[in-house]
Amino acid sequence: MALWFRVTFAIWLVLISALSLSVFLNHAKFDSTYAELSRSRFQVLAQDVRGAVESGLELGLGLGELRSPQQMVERTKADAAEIRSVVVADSRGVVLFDSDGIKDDKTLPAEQVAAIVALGNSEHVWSMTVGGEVLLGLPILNPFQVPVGVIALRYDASRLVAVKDKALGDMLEAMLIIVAVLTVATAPLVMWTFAGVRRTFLTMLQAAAAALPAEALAEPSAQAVSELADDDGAAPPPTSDMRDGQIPNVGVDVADDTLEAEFSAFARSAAGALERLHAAQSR
Amino acid sequence: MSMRLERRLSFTLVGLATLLLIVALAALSWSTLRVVRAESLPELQRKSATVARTLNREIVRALELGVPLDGMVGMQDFLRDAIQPHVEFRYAAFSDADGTVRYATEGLTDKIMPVTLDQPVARGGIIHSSYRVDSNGTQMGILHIGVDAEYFTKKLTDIVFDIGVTLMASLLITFEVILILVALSVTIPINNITAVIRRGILGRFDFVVDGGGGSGEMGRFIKALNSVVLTINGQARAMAAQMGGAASTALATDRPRRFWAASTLHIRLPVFIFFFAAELPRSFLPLFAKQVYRPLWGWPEGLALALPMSGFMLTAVLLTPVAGRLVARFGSRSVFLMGLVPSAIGFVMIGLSTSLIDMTVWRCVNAAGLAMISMASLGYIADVTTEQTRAQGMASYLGAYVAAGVCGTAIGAIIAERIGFGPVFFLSAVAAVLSAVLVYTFLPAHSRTVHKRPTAKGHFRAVLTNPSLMALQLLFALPIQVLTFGYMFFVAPFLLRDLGLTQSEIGRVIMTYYLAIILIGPVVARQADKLGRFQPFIIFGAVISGASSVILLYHANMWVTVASAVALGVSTAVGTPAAGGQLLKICAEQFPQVASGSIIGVYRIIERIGGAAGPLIASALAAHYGYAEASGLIGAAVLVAGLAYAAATPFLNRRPAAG
Repeated sequence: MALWFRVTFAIWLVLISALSLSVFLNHAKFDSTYAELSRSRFQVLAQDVRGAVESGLELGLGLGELRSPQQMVERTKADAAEIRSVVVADSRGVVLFDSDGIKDDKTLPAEQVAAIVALGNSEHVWSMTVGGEVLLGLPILNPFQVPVGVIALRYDASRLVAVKDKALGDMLEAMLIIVAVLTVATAPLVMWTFAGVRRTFLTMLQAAAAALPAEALAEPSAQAVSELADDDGAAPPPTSDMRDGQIPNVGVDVADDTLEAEFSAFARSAAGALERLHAAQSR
Repeated sequence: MSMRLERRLSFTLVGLATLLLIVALAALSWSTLRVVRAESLPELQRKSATVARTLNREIVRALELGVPLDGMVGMQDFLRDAIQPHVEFRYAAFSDADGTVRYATEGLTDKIMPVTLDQPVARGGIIHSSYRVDSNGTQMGILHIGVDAEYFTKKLTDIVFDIGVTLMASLLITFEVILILVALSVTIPINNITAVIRRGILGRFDFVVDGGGGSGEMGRFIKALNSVVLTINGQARAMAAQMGGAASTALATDRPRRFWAASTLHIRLPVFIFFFAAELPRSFLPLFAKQVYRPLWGWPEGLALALPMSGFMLTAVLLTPVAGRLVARFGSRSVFLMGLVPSAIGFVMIGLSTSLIDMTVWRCVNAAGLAMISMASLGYIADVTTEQTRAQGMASYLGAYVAAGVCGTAIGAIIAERIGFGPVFFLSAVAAVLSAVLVYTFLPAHSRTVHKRPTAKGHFRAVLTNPSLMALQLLFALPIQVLTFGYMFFVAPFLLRDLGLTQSEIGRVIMTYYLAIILIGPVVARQADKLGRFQPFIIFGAVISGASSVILLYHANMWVTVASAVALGVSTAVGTPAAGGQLLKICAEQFPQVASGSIIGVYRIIERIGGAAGPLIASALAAHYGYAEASGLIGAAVLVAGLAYAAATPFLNRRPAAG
C-alpha cells in the first residue's frame, strides 16, 4: 500500500472518529433539549388543569365533589392532537375524571401514583416513557399543601422521535458531505507532502541504474530468496549500536551524510566489489 | 537526512490534519446549527401557542366576569408569572386590536406591537407571535408572546467544552498516529536502509532491508538495494565455496540476513490505545461503584467503595513479578497479546456488574491484564534500547500513557454522561481489542525478543534497609501515590459531584491533571537532566503536591479543585521523573554491583502499594471528615513528608557510598 494512501487513511479515520463523536454529542444535546421543551409544553397544559382543580379545592370541596375538572380534562385533550388521555385521580390512584369518559374502577398503577405524590409541592414534574408514549404526572395539593390526588397526562411521542431521527439523519448527511469533501482535498495534499521522499528515492534509483551493472539490479536468485525466508530474525540485531532504529555508527566517514550521497558511496563500493568478483572469477 | 525528513513530514502532516479537523468540526457545527434551528422553531411556536391559550382563557374569564380592559389589576404580574418558568420566553404582552400595548412584562419597551396573527415573525433574535383574544364573538385584544429564536443554539453552546475536548483529544490522537505512521513508514525504513548502505560502503554485503517502503519509489528502491546485496553476497559465497575459502575479495561471506531494527515506536501506538481504554472510566469509577453499592458484610460504605480501585492496584502489584517472568519466558509480543484477553474480558464484565463484589472481582481480572501489558511494554523497551536510550524509551512509554490519560478521561466522561457508566467499559473492551490488532500488526512475529530479566528476589532487603532509598520511598513515592489515587482518582469525583458538576465537567477537571503533566513534564525533565541534581525537584514536587490539596481544607469549589488538579499534575511532572533520576543515581553510587532494574522493580512494587492504599485511606478519612477535608489531610501529610525529605537531604548526601 502506498505511503500517502496509508497516511490519508489514518487522517481520514481520525477525522471520521472526531466527527462521529461530535455528531453524537450534538444530537444527544438536541435530543434532551427537544424532549424537555416538548415535555414542558404538555406540562403547561397539565398545570392548567391542576390550577383549576386546586381552585376548586380552595373553596373547601373534596376532589370527588368537583364538577369542572371533567370538562377541563376533555378540553385539554382537545388542545393538542398528540394527547392520548388526561386523568385526575385521588391519592390512591382511583380515576375520578378521565378525558375518555369515566369508567368504573379505573385506577392508576400504585407505584406511579406514589412517585407523583412524592413530588409534594416541588416544581418538578414526574415523567416516564412507555413504548411510543410519554406519561407525565403532577400532584394535586389541597390548601394545606398536602397531596390529595394526581394528574396524569399521556401523549404520543412519535413526532418527537421523528423529529429527533430527522435531525440525526441531517447531521449524519452533513458529516458525510464534509468527510467526502475533505477526503478529496486531503489525498492530493498528503501526496504533495510525500513528494520529497518520492523524489529522493527516484533519484537514487536512477543513480543505481547508472552506476551499477544490470546483473546487480536483477531479481535475486531463488536460492537467496529461500535462504532469507528461512531466516527467523529471532536473533538479536547484529551490533549493539544497531538497536532502537538508530543509524549505526560503522565508522564510515562521509563528507555529505545525505542519503543520496551515502548511496553514491554504496554504489561505488558495490561496483568495486563486483569488479573484484569478476576479476577473481576470470583468474 | 532521515531525522530532518521525519520532522518535516510529521510537522507538515500534523499541521495538515489539525487544519482539516478544525475545518471539519467548524463545518459540522455550522450545519448542526442550521439543522437544529429548522427542527426546533416549530416546537417553540407550538409551546408559545399553548401558553397563549392558557393565558387567553384566564383573560376571557376576567372579561366575562365584567372586569374592564383597562382595569385589570395585577395583569403585569399575571403575565410575568405565566412566562417565568419558561426560560426561552422573552416577553408577554396584551394589546388592543391595533397593537397598542396595554399590559406587558418588565423589559418590553415597545408601545405598539406588530400584529402577526397566524404568522409568527422572527426579528432581533426573537420569534414574535400574536393571538386574538375574543369574548362572546368580539375581539377584545391581542396577546403577544416573544420566544428566544436562538434558544436551541444557546443550548448547544453548553456542549462547546465537550466539542473542544473532542477536538483536543482528536488532535492528540492524530499526533500519535501520524508520529508513529511516519516513523514506521519513513524514518525507520530509512534508518534501516542507511544501516545496510553503510555496511555496504564498508564492503559488507550481508544484510538486506526487511520490508517497509510500500509499493512506491521507496519500496522499489529497497527491492533494488536488496538485489544488489544479494547478488554480491551470492557471488562472494559462491566464489568462496569454489576457491575453498581462499578467495581474497575481502567481501563478507556470511549468509544474508534481514535487518530489522526494533524501535520503541513499534509499541507506542498499542500502548497509547490500551491506556486510552483503561483511562476511559477514570473519572467515574468511584461513582459507578457507588451506583452498584449494596451494604456489604457490615463494612462502612466508604471502605467498600474503595475496594474496586484498591483491589485493582493490589492485584497489579502482586502479579507484576509473575508477569515479568512470563515476559522472560514468552517474549513481549506474546505477553502483550495474552494480557489483552483478561483486560478485554474484565472491561466487558465490569460494564455488566450489578454489585460491588462483581465489580471488584472483574477489576482484579482487569488488573492481571494491566500487569502483563505494562511488563510486556517495559520489557520490550528494555530490549530495544541501550543504556543511553532507555530513558528516552521510558519517556516515550510515559508520554503515551499521559496522552491517553488526557484523551481517555475526558472522552470517557462525556460519553458516560450520555449513555451511562456501564457501556463505556464496552468501548474500553473494543479499544483493547484494537490495541491487540495493532500489536499483531506493528510487532512482527520475528521480533520476538525473549530475554532474561533480573529478578527482584533478594533486593527487597537492600531497598528496605538503605536510608537514601527508604527516604525517597517513604517521604516521596509512597505519599504521592496515596495522594494521587486517594484524592485525584477516588475522592475528587465524589467531591466534584457533590459540588454539582456534571460527569463531563468532572472528566474535564481530572483531565487537567494529565494536561499539566503533558505540558510541564518534558520541559522540567530536560532541566533536571541538565542540572544533574534531582533532590530540589523531588522536594518541590512533594511540597506542591501536598499544598495542592491542603487548599481544599479552606475552600472547596470547582475552580479550587481545578487549581489543585493542575498543581498536582505540575508537581507530579516535576517530582516523579526526578525521583526516577535520583533512584538511578542511588543505584549507581550505592549498589554498583546490583542491576539497577532489580532495585527499580522493588521500588515500583512498594510505590504501587501506595496506590492501593490511597483509596482506602481516603475513604476512611472521608467517612469521618468529608471529601474536601480527607483530601486536605492527605495533602498535609504529603507536605510534611516533603519537608521531612528536605530536612533529611543534607544527612543523606553526607552518607558514604555503600557496596
